[in-house]
Amino acid sequence: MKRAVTLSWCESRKRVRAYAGSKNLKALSLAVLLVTASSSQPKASAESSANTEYDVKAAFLFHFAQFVEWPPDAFKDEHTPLTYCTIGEDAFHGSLDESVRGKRIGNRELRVRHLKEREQIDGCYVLFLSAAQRGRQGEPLASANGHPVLTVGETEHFVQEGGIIGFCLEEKKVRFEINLEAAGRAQLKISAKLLALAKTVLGNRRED
Amino acid sequence: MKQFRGRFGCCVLLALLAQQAAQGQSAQNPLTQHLDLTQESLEDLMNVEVTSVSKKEQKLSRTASAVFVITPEDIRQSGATNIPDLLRMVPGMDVAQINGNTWAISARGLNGQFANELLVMIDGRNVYSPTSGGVFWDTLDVTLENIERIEIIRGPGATVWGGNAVNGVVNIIRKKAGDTQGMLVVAGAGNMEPGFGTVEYGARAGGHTDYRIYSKYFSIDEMNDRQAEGGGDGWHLLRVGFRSDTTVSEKDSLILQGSIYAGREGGPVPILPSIASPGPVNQQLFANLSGGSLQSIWNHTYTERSDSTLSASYDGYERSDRLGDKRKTFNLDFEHHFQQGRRQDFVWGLGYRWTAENSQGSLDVSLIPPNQSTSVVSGFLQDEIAAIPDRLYVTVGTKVERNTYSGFAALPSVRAVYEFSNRRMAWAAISRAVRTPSEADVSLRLNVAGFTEPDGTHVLISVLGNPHVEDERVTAYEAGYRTEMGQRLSIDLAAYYNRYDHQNSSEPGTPFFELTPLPPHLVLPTIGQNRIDGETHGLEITAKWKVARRWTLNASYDFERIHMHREPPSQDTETAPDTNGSDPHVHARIRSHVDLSHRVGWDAAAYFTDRLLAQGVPSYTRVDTGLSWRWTERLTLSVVGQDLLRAQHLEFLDSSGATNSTLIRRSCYGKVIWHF
Repeated sequence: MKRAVTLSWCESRKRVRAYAGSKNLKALSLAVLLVTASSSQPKASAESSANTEYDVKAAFLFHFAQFVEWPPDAFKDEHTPLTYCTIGEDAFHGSLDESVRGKRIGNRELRVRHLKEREQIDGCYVLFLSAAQRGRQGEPLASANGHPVLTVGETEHFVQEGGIIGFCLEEKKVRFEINLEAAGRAQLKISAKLLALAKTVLGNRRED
Repeated sequence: MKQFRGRFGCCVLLALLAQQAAQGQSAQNPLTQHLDLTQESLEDLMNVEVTSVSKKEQKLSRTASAVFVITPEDIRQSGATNIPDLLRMVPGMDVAQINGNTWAISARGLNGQFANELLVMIDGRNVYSPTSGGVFWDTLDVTLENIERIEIIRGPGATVWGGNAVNGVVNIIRKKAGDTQGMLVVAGAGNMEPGFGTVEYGARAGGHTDYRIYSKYFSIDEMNDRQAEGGGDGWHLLRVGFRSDTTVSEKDSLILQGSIYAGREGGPVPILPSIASPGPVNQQLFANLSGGSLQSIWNHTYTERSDSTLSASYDGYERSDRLGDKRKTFNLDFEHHFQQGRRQDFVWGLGYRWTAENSQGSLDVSLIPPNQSTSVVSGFLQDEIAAIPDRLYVTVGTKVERNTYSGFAALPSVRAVYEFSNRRMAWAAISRAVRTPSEADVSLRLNVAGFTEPDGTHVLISVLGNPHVEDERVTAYEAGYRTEMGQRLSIDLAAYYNRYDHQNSSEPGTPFFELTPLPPHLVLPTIGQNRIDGETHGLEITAKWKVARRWTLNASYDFERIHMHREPPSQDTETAPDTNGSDPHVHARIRSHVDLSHRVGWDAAAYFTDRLLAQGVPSYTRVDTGLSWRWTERLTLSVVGQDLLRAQHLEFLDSSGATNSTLIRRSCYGKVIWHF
């Protein structure tokens, strides 16, 4: 019988062995970075370090969609855009909208919708619940439960409450945890690469 | 390994910044520009160091106080229809319902109808009445569906919040207008409430303003008094209000909110028919209640490490009760928060309050002079120091207040938090708080009973205020511990020891002759002095347990002991024993929420309150339960039963004698919530 991995919060002292980290990979990444940096199209001056946290999270959200597989019947057809949804005030202050504008994943257009509180989450494929949603995530999570919606949050107990991916900050760097059981209920397949980079995974793990 | 990653992370950021710089500056406002990091790989993203860690709002678990937060889910699951019932779930709070429209609520003891040790605010605006220092819980009528959260701090919050925050602070924070858009209709009725409802509409106006307008009404039947007759405490209230949130610029936001209300409530009130009456006579009285408030809050962000808030508010109310209390209050508050260096976080502020009373008075109760105005000027400064970053934080602060009656008061505090890990922390604090005199303490005239001496002299027994009454003071020693055990259980402990001095006592004063009201009579006064000292101590334990994916339990237990005594030469033999025995020694609470299915939730709660020794009120257990059904995404139905264990029971007999108690009844109601 497979046992569930004990979930731990982001403790600065703990190291999960699944975390990728070989020196070769670092060097390669640095080289790749320099190449991509020179070919990227930056938006503007970088004085706005105030938004860095959410710029990084916006980029993570973009990547999450690349490494998650939705069930085939989740989209009406191949032209249905992959929609990201946020609830309430936009914690990204536009960063998410700008990050996904004009981009495609698997040839699908990307769209961002900012929902009001209590608005329906139909048509959302990625649902982001910001820290401001603390204490009222029960309803959106219950609505998304069992539907092919990738729920992403940033409160401390997000994955235990049934969210699929939870952000946390460790020594000022963005990390994330994955609830594989919740992903399974949503019929979402999470690539092994994403699982390997996760700080911790709650649910059944093949290696254990 | 760690060092390498740190440097690597810096490399990533530097490379990006260099790239940005090479591309040239943009003319647009830096605050609205973002980095597009989607080209970076996941591994690289994980090494980017982010400089802004949320947020100005302190992480809850790092607060060096006994804090409890009521969330919107707690509100829905409790089935409560008013703020007092919501506060019952909070450890350390004493909530007692006197009659249908009157409550005695305090934190950590010293409870009474006019309990004045608790500071209650809505969005930072004080809502206690300067007349008595107490809170009119009947007109504290907030749309529960609009509450973002309620933060309750037990223990002195005097440094930041000022006088009156002696035993606790309750701050009701409401949702932003942007979070309550669309139409909301709430309607319901029950055996005790012939009807209640709220209609609210929220929308966006122009590009930058969100607003909502609402109207709510409720009507509650009377309950029985202890002689099993109609208590006459039924009441109803209608309120209309609005809120608007405007983004004035990237750095400025403005909140405007206000409401007006009108209602009528009945009360079984003891009144003195004439100065020759041997005692009060119970009468059925009705009071018209009306009032309104307007508040503006302007928030300005200087940088991401510094912001300030300027808020102004007006509050007016009128109650046609025996006092004929009519008051208006203006508040102006400024607060500036900024981070200094890497280790310090400062908050400082200035405040001004002006309040004016216009009372009618009656034979039983009046204010002398009936019309007066007072003001309070205050300033505070607080510094949170990261003595050892991510481990030990020390907060030092003080507030200085000057009020019309008692002059200057300084309210310092020192608090420390030690984080063992992200999941365990301990805190301790020493602070001084002061309850400044209210208008009643200084100007009250209560005529209690009259009699005629054998020689024909008329004598009247009265209670008088004292213009020289002093501040009541407390030094509080507190400590607490919070831990998360496993992934489903969290426990919070808080202990306190409060030393009180200069507490109000009633001392016999010098008799004097009075010509009016006729016939001329001799007055035997008791005058308010400050000759009671004592201590209270207690412990509060709270636990939250996620038993299963669909089942959560919240439990708490607290005990408190109050030992007040009079200081010679005091001759007040009643106040201290009454205070000692007006709070239950023990509270125990348990709340359960079960998701029976996707759409149906079942909540149940039991609250045990120990007996009140000084009042002869027996202990009781309140059992509430509710079923809620999300029929569609937009429509929710719920049925709630409250106080199910006993048909009716007594909760509190207030010693001030201002109003009579009725028996709190078993009740149930059904409610529909519809939003579209």
